[in-house]
Amino acid sequence: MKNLTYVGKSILRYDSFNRGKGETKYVGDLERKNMLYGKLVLSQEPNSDISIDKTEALKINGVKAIFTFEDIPKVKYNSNHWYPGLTTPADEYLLTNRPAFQGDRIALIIGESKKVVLKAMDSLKITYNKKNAVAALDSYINNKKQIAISKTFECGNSTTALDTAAFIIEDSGNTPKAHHGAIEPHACLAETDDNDNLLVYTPCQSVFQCQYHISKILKLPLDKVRVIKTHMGGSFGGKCQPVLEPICAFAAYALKQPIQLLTNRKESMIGMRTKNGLHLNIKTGVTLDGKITARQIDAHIDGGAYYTNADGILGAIGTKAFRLYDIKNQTFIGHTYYTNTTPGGSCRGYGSPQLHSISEVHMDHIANTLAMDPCEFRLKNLLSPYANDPIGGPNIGNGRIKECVDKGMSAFKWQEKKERLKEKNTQRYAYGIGMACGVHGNGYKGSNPDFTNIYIAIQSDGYVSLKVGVHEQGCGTLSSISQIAAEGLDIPVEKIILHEADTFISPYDSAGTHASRVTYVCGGGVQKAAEKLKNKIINYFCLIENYTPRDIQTKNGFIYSKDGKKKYSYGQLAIHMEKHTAQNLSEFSHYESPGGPGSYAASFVTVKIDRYTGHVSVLDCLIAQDVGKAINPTSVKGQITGGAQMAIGMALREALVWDKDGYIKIDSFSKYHMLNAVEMPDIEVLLVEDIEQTGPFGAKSVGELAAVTPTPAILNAINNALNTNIMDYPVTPEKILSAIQN
Amino acid sequence: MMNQFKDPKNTKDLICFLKGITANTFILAGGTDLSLKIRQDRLTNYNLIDLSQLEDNKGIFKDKEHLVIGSNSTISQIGEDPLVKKYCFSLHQACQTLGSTQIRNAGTLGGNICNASQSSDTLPCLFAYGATGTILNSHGDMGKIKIERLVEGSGKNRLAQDEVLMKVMIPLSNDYSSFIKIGDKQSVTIAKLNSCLRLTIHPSGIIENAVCFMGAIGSKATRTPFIENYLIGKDISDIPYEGLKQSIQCQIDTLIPNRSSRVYKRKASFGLIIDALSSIKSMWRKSR
Repeated sequence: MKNLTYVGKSILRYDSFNRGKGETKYVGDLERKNMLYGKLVLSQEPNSDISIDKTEALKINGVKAIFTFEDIPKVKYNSNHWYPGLTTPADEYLLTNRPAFQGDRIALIIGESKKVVLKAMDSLKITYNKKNAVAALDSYINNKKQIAISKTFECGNSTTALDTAAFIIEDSGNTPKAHHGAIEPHACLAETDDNDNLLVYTPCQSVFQCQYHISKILKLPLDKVRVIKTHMGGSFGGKCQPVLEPICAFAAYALKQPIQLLTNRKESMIGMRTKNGLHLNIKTGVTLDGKITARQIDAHIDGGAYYTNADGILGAIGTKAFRLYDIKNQTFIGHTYYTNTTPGGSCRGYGSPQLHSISEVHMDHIANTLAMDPCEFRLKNLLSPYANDPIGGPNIGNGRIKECVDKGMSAFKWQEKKERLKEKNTQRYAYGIGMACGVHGNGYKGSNPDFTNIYIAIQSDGYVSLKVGVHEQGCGTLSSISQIAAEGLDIPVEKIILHEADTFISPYDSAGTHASRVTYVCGGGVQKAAEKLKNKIINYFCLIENYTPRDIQTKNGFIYSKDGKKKYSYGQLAIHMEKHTAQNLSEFSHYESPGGPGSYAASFVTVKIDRYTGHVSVLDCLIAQDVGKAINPTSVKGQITGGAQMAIGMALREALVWDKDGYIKIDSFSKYHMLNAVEMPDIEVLLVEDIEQTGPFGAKSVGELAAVTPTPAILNAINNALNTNIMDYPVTPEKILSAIQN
Repeated sequence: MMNQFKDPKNTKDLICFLKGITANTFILAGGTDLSLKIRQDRLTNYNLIDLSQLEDNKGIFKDKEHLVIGSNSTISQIGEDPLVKKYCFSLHQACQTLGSTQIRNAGTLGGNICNASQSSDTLPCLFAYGATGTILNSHGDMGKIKIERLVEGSGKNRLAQDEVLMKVMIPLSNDYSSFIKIGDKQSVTIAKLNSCLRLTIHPSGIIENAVCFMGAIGSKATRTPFIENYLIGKDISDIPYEGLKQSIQCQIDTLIPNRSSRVYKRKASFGLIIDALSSIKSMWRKSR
C-alpha cells in the first residue's frame, strides 16, 4: 500500500474543544418557541392490567395532554427492526395498557413546564390489576411457553466426536443483564415544520430506523419524517432501538407543538433497553495433546418482556462460537426467553462479551485439566488467517488472532510473570495472571443487507461536501470517516465537511451504527467514492490541459502537471467544470459490503485479590487487538481503553438485578457500580496492524470488540490466583470470599 | 411561606428564620443528600434555609479541652485541617475518603451528621471520640447533646423542627485512631462496612483502652464490645490474629444474626480491623 498522508494520523476530533468547554448542545439543551415538556409514566408493576384515571391530572393548569393506550395508534412495532424486510414479531405499542415489565410505558404527560408535568404525574390515578410475574431466567429455562425463539448452528458431528475425546470438560456460567451507563440518559425532541414535516432530533444510532418506525406507526410517508442525529453523550447500544422517538414524534404531530422528552437515570435504566443476560452450558472434548475435537454449547438468553432482538442476539452469540477456534465438530443450541424484565437490546459487543466471558474461562479450565499453558492451548486451536467459517458465514479474512496472542505474551512478559508472580503472595493477598481471546464482526454481510450510499462533491470554495449516513457515537467516527475521504481525494482533512446523519440530507444507509459496520462498510464506501472522484479530477485536468494521467500529480487539494506549468486547486477545477461542461465535480456511489472478516483481540491481565475483603484490583491490562489499520491511532486506543473500562465493570461489578417477583432492585448509580476513573488500571494497547484487504485502507472494526476480552481475562486471573473456577458474573467480593471458603 | 429561600448571614437572622419554620422547610447544609431527596421525592413546594452564608458555625479550632469543628465546615476542609489530623486522625481519614471530590467540597459535617445515614463515614469517628454537638433553637437557646444521642439512625435525627446543629466538640486526647471502609467500589464509594478504631496505648505498647464503632451494620454506627475487650491488654505489636478473628466474627454474628450480608461482613470486617490496627501500629511506632 502506498504511503498514507491522512490515514494513520492521530488527528484531534472535530468536536473536542466544544465538548471540553461544555458548549456542545445536547437534546436536553435544545429550546424551541412554545416548546412543551413530556414525561413518560412507567409502570410500577412488572405484569399487570391497568386502568388510568386522568381526570384530576388534566385539570392542572398548564397540562396540555395526557396520552394513554386509548389515545395511540394501534400499530404494533418491534423497535429492533431497522428496515421493513425484518419479519420477527412486532409486539409493542407506543403505550401499553398491559405492562409486561416494571418500567413499561403506560402514559405520556405533556405540559407547559417540567414542574406542571411532575404535578400531573402525581395526580394520575393508576389502578394495577397485578398478575404473576417471574424475572429470574433460571426459572424459565426449558419452559417452552416462554421461548421467543430457538436456533441451532452445527458443523460436523459433535456427539460422535465427543465420544472419542480423551477428556471432556463441562462448565456452566452466567452473565447478567446490564445497563449501558451512557452519561446522557435517553432524550428526544420532536416538532413539525412549515411544510407539515415531522422533525425528530435524537441522539440515536440509526436515523433511518427511527424514520421507519415513526412513518409506519403514524402512517406518514417516509419522506415526511425527518430524523436528525444530534450530539450524543454516549450510547454503547443503549440508544440503538428507538424507544422515545416514536412516542415523542406522535405527541408532537398530534399537538403540532415542539415537545422535548427527557428521561432521568432511573427511567433510562429500567424503561429503555438492556444488555441481554445469558446462562451458558458448555462441553468440550480434547485430545491428550490439547487439540479440541468437539464442542457443544447450550445457551439460554434473557430476552426481556418484548421480542425486540431475541432473534438477533441469539444469532450473534451462536455464530461467533464458530469463528475463533478451529473446531470441526460443534453444536450450538440456543433459546431466547421472554421474561418480565426490561427488554433486551444492543450493547457494545452484541453477544460477544456474554459468550466469551464464559467460553474463554472454560478454555482455561480445559488448559488446567490438561496441565497446559492457557496461551499454548489456545495457540494450538486458534483459527489461522483466511479460514472459512464452518457454518457458512463469511471467510474470516486476515484475522490475526495468533499474532495477537504471540505479541501479547511477549509484551506482557507472560512467561516471566507466570513463573515469578506467585512469589508476591502473602497470607492476605493473592496474585494471578490471566488471558483471553475474542472475536467480533464487521457488519451484516451474510445475514442482512449491508450497504450504504455516498454523495461526495468538490464545492466551488474548495471544500468537500461529504454526505453519508453516519452517526457519531463518541468513537471519533466523523473524524475517521473524514480522514478516509481526505486520503482518497488527497486533500487536507479540514476541507472535508461531513454532517451527522439526517434523513433529509444523508443518502440512505442500510443499518446505521450497528454490527461494527461503520468504519468497515461506510468507510469502505467513502474510500471508493473519494477515489472515483479523484479519478474524475485527474481525468478532467488531463482533458482540459492535454496531459496524460502519468504526467500529473495531486497533493493537499491541488492538481498540477509534473512539468510545473499547470496547477489548479480542486475548487478552481470544480468551477471550471461547472462553467464548461454544465456538471458539478461530484460522485454518487452505492457501496455494498465486500465481506465479513473477523476482528480479533487477546487480553492479558494481572490481578491482586484481598483474601480478607474479597476485593479484586486489576493491576495491569494489556490488550493486543487486530485492527487491520488504525485510521486514527489515538481514537483507536481510546476505544480499546474505554472498552476495557466496560469489560472490567462487567467482570467485577455491573449487574441489573430483579427480585423473584419481577421488581427491579437496582435503579440508580448508587447501586449500579461502574468502574470509576480512580480504579481504572493503566491499559496498554498493542495494535496489531496487518491490513484487511476488503477494509478501507486495510481497517477493521474496533470499538465493540474492545469490550470483550478483558472480562474473561480477569476471571482467568482470579481463578489462577485462587485456584477456583468461577464463571458467574459479576465476581463481587462476596463471591470471592465464598469461593475461597469452598 | 411557599418556595422561599433564606440564607442567614448570622445567628440572629437564623433564629429569626427558625421562628417561622414549617414542616416543609429544609435546612440546606451542603445539599449533597437533600438535592437528591428533593428530586427523588419530586418535591415542588418546599422552603430552604441555606446555612452556607452563616459565618458563626464555620471554622476549626482548639480550646482547652476540645477540638471544635463548626458544623458548616466542609468535608474537604476537615480532611485537610492539621488540627483534625492531629487530634482525631480517623475523622481526617474519613473525610479524605468520603464520597468524591465534588461531594467533599460541597458536603458539610453538620449535614453528614444530621442526615444520619447508616453508612455515614464521619459518625463512627465522632461516636468513638464521644463528640458533643451544640444545638441552637428558635428561641436563641444553645444546648448540648452527644452526637451518638443526636443521631437516631436510618436517616433520622433527634433535632426538633426549630433546631440547628452549630458546632461539634471532640474531647482532646493522645489516643490513636484509624478509619477504614469497604464499599462496592474501592474509592468514591458508599460504605457497606466501615469502622473507627480508637486506642489508648501505653508507652510499652500495651493497649490500655479500645473503642471501636462499626458503620453500615445497623441503623447507625454500632459499638463493638467483643472486639474492644479482645484488644484491651494486648500488645499493639503482637496481636494474635486467630483470637481477633474469632472476636470479630462473634461480634458480627451478634449484631446481624439474620441478615444475608452477615456471611460476607463477618469475614470482611476482619480485613477492616487488621487494616485499622496496622495503620495505628505504624503511627504509634513513628511517634516513639
